[in-house]
Amino acid sequence: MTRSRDVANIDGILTATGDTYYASAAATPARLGIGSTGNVLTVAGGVPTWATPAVPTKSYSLRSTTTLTGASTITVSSLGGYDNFLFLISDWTSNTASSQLQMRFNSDSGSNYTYNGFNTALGATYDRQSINNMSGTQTYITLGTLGTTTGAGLNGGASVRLDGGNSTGFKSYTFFSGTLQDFTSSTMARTNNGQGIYTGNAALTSVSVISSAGNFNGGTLRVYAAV
Amino acid sequence: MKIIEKEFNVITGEETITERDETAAEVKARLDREAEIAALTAAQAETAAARQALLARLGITAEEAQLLLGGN
Repeated sequence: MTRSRDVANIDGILTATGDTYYASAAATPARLGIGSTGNVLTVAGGVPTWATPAVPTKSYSLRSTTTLTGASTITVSSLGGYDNFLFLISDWTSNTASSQLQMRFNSDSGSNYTYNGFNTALGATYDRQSINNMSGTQTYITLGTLGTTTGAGLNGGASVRLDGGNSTGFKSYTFFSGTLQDFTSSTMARTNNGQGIYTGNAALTSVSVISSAGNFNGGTLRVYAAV
Repeated sequence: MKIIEKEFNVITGEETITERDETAAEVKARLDREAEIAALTAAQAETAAARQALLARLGITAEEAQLLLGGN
């Protein structure tokens, strides 16, 4: 086939604006009419076709439920392959007063947790009510502190959501936490809320919760994940 | 102080328990935190004592003071 014949053949096939020229079989030129606005070119049955782009869906599944007891660091591992995580910690306590709940990813104790947020203190009297901003870079995520006394009902809860877990770049996280404390016999509730960036580059494969003082003696860590 | 660590592998279901000594950084962090808590507790006790002394001088209770302030 000469070049002039090829051009004539193409002209005969491409009859409308937006037409695409392709081979519907070996040595078989064909026309693909333009799709609708927003369509994307995809493949069906081995040939190109225009289609409505698929809307990504995200479904979380429970990966693990871990009781927090008998250790000061509890790690849930083999979490690779997921991009979105939700870590829920309920009713955590320690056998030692003034313990702080901390979280790390990939057992990373470097200064890779940069955050900004605020904390509140809600006490029974005015001098114990406050709201403070907080920001900085730490070697863990701070998720609340127990009071100077321990006892029934004096515990904490927290949730952390992490996005980008499957990437080899920075990952964003959001945290909410609250503890019911008892400083000098006057009950007080505290909260920490904010967002941050975890600057470790490795894809996330594990999460650790840490009791800064003493061993956990109660609580549950639930790990939910979505691809 | 001994540090006890647990690891749960979600794929194999295996639980590993490790016991080790604190690292120097962990010792420092613990002592710093204990000092911070002690200072906070002392400051709060001081505030509570000052409040109580003021209430005694005024001859009113804490509840009555809150009523005066219009708060809870």
